[in-house]
Amino acid sequence: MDADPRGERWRRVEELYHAALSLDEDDRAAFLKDACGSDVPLREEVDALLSVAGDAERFLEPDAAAPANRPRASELVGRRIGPYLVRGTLGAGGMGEVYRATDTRLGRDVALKVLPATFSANADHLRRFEQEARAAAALNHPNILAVFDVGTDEGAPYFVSELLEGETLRDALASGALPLRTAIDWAIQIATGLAAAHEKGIVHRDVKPENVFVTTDGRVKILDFGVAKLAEGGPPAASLATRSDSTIPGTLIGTIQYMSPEQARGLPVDMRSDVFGFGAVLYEMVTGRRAFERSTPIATLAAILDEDPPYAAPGRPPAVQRALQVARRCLEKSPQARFQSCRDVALVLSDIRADTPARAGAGVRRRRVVVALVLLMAAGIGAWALSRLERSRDAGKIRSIAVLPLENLSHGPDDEYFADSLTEALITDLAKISALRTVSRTSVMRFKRTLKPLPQIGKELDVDAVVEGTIERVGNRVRINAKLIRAATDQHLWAEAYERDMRDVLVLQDEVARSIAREVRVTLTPDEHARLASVRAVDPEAYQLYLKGRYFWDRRTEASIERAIAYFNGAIAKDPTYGAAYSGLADCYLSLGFSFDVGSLPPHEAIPRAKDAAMRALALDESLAEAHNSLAYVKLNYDWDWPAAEAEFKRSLQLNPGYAQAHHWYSHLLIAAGRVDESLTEGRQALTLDQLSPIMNVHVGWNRLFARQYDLALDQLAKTLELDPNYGLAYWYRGLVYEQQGRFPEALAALRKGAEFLKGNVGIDADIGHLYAVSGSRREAEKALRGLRQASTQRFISSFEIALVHIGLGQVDSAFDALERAYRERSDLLVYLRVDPRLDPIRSDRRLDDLIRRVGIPR
Amino acid sequence: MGAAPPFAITQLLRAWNSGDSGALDRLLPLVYDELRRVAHNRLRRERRDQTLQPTALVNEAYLRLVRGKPPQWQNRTQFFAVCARLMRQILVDAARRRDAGKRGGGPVRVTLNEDALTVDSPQPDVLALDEALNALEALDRRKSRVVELRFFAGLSVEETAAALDVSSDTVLRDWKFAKTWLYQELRRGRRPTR
Repeated sequence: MDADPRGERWRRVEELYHAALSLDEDDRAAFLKDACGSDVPLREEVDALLSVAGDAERFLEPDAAAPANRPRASELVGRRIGPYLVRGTLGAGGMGEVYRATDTRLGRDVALKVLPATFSANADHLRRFEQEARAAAALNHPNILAVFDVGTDEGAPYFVSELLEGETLRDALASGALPLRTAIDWAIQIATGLAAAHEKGIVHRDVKPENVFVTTDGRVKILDFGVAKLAEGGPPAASLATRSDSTIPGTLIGTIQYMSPEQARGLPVDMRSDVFGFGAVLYEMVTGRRAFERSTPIATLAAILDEDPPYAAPGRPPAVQRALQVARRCLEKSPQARFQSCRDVALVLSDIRADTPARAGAGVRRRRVVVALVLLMAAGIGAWALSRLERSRDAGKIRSIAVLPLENLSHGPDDEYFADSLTEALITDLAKISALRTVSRTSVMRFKRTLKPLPQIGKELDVDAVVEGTIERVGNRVRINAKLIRAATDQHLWAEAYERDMRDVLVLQDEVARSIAREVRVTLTPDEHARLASVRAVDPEAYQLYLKGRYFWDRRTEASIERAIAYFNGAIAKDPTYGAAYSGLADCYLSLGFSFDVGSLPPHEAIPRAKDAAMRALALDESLAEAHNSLAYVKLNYDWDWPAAEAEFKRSLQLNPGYAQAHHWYSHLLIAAGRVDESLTEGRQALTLDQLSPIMNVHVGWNRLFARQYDLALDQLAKTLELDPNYGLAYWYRGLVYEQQGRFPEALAALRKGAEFLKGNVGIDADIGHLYAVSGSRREAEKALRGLRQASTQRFISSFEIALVHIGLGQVDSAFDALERAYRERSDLLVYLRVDPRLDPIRSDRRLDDLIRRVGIPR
Repeated sequence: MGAAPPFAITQLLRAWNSGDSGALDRLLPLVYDELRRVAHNRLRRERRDQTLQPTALVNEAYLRLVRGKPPQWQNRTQFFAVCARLMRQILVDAARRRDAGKRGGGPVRVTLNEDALTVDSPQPDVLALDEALNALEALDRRKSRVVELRFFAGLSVEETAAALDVSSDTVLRDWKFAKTWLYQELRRGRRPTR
């Protein structure tokens, strides 16, 4: 290589090039003259390179376009560009110079930016430039730099904009995080400006601190609209702003850090890409740190695509944390998961600002202002419905109502649950009004997508009126159409359309709350009015998670309950003061810990958690009927504290007389205590509220089994099976009734059928074992017993189940051993010891009396 | 060939990293296929005058190939280094096809975005840059490689230095000189503006 004259020459050229560049321009000639001597071609080669060195600086650099052939500042000062007299330079942007100029027609000072003439060589480019510049000029908004004019001068396009004094946000961030109030103030202005642009269909594509200008009097202006788009999906061109370009040649840093993931992937972008950029800017304003900054551009890109910046701000005021939550939502990787509009962002931030004292300092108090919009809307519709009910009094008073499942018109994966949950929220609210009987969820869910005529539905549900409606969720918007219809005559009493932004909570709060207050006062007791109007403030995201949790809890399988627990925990994480979420968590653990329900965990593992959650729910909100009911069930089945359980049930029902689940569980306490008539009354009450619910129906049959009213029990179970011919529990309990009647073959058929529908249910296997035993098939019974023991190595099985088979087999001592184990397990099934007919063979044994006493079953 | 299982890429990178030079030979076709697919999908999907961003393409290919199992940073640099050459090849091929198809009204105009506004001809094309790079390679192989890594794979100076096993200073000097040289070369031998 060294011998290669070409290589030698090449190295020499490079050497001289670098050396010359390191010198002042004035010294170069002398240096080169000296260095090249008589080698004219060498000198020419180096000169040629040096002459383009400046222009080549940005060549192949992805960051910004190099200003080729840009006019030298000195050439323009004092000249006229169109009607503008150039007075001096303001600074250089990435693409052209910015000047202070005077509009000679109006006599006002403006900022003028001249682009290289070569820029317009491409007709496409020029057309697009003008198009975009005009669009930007059309953006007349206080938070967007005003573009006054665009034009060309001797082929060089120019921009004219308002002349501002101040600094870029980048400069303002030089000393770290901004005071929170300032950060929020500015962020609101940025979001408002972006929203205005988006509403005109203009996407900025390059939201970053460099493109945000803060004037000396604190007004925020977004720069570079239109210009940014010139680069068509690529990095931005340049700004009209006066600023120094901090991009270091040879790196990408400075542009990619605010890029959205879709931009980084080179995918088409829309306004949600700006939401992302905004989020990164907000993050930086609040924390003083860049959301995505790694040592290399590729690592930065990877971070944008895959990682989240740290959002935890321990020890910082809640308002900071809330601001970070906003940033977090803006920075979601998927555009669908972000705020769908900057308008929403601005509203949420205004809310935070309202809670943030103007002077930074201690004592930032968080006011709970965020309200569950959907809940309020639900309440709103309910209130409306009610007021109309009252007004149409002369047409016959409406005392009962059913809310048909809102029809879901959107198609997202989450929307189905959302429609169902909203239906439920509406029912829950209406149920709190004692003057009105509101049909429960399970009953109305049967009419989902039904084609039956309304009068018939009204008849089947036995209600005077029906609410029906549609719900549509598009991004962050929710649209609900609701109608109130007199069932018998199909007469429309009222209709109302609601369209809201999911995040539009502040505006909505006032609006709906006022309408509730106005409309409801006429018809409700003051207490009920207060209860409805004081719908708890809750974080909307937490509420969403809560609804999901309820949806999955309702399915009552081990897997669905696991999911529900995750959702409730998510809701609690979002809003640790959200009582209802704790109550949901409590119900999940009740389901897992009680053999009467899913029963996959030993009670002592699950129920203390349920209890803890219920207590926390009540500590946060004593008026939660659900939590009192959960607690009651714990007191009954786990603590065996019967008086306390009864008190909790009563409190729950006092708070929400329309809560079918509380009537239902209370009926179990009453039957277990041998209070048959009261139990049947509560069961009937649950049924009236939720007459088409299989679970309410089947448990009236269960109660009658323990009341030893076998024929009535069978009637009830037959009714249940009419509602749902595939309802396993009904077959199961029917088998138990047949067994008591001595109808063993029918009992076996029914139990087997139940087992078919309730795959994996060990309780029913135990009962089949018991049936074999009492019907004389000892070998089969013993086989069943072995099966249970085997199964118990895999999962929790209440020893009460084992005890039952032993009783059937006449193995009294083994039965009591098992019962003792069940006692130590705190099995919920022990509460029925006094009434379960299958225990009759050992009823004379003193050990059973002792057990009954220890379980506290009242006489 | 079908889509390469993602783990194969990572494993081959690892093997290559630990001195198995044969791994690179097996790696290249896999990566090439993926890059080409990404580039072509993009070209098909997007508007006629859509410009290509090589770095975005490489990044997309990378994400697809290592999906689910992000390898170590070291591997990532290697991957991008491998991609640089391939990306250049793919873009040149696409541009040639475009030129060939021009007489029949070719579907897509392939231009490079990053330098869109920088040279007199506002959108110098891939072929011109490729030719200039070939000329540069004949004079100074390392410099052409630096340009490839920086421009076609978007490696930073530090990453380029690591990939080429030279100092960052050297990369900076090479980069600066190569840019100037290429810029001048392109201006001198500018292809007729379309």
